[in-house]
Amino acid sequence: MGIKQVVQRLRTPTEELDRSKRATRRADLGATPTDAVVDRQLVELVGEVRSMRIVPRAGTSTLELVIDDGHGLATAVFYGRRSIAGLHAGRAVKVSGRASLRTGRPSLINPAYQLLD
Amino acid sequence: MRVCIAGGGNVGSFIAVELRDAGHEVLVLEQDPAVIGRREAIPGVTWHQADACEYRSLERAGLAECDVVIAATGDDEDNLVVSLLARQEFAVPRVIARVNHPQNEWLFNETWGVDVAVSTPHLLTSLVEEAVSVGSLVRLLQLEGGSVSLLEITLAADSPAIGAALKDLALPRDATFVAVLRRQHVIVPRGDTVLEAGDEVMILSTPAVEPEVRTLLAARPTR
Repeated sequence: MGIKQVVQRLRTPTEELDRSKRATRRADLGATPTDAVVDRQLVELVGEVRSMRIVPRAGTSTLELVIDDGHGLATAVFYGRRSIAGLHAGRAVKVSGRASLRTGRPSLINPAYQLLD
Repeated sequence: MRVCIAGGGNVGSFIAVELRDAGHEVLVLEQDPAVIGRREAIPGVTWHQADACEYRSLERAGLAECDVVIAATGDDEDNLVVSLLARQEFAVPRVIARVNHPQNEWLFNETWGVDVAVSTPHLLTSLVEEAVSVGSLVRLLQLEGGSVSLLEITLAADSPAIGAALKDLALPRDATFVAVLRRQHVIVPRGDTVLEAGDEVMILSTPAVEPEVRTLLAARPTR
């Protein structure tokens, strides 16, 4: 890496670097960018778990993950779960399933998931 | 709208005909060829012989393009499976499920993909309650998965709200008067509407403030 690139890298805000890192990983795996998701289509999304939330709902709990892929946010909802082994904030993950845009941002219910490095 | 009905029995075919008449595109999934044979004569309704609890049959039926799915079989387990598949695998915007046995009603909620659960026995009890009860609060309808309900009360002579203008009643912020029915007339509630004994009052309220509404309008602590 030349001195110019190093300076350029140091001058770029951390969030910007994170975002481009996430976007690169998504592109490498051929996943759909969150901002290009079409309602009710089967999609694969790749991103980092930004936050996890346990929502008490109808007598049981629901685990909601917010996934950030550098293009936007998506939600993965797991009914009847409080935690999923290996899934925590900051973890890179691939989720696949049918996306719904009902709530504004893409959301997947009980999607198949794969932990990424 | 494109509607898919699982179960082509009496309930399913009745709904199919009603919706067809209302101008919707209706598809019925039924497993038993004999049942289809009996009903295929219904014009304007598409019939598929398939197991609605199978992902593949739902996919073939084009559930991904359906706006509404109605799980109307006579089996509660089947209805739950259809609802969950519709929501999880096809992101169907609205899922309505029939509850056959009232004891199973607690299962018919969002975690099984159900938006609206319709239970005939409960519907009947609330209608009967509404017809016979004076002075107690009756829940007529639940909306948005139970986050808000339409309540009805016929004011008894000893209700604390009688003679008061609506604006002076300390109705909780999460509740509002929707209509007052007085001697077969609908009065649109305003701040200066004064309540009388025998008035049928409709209130839209969240479950959290229901007890407050009850204290305010019901004659005595009932149920």
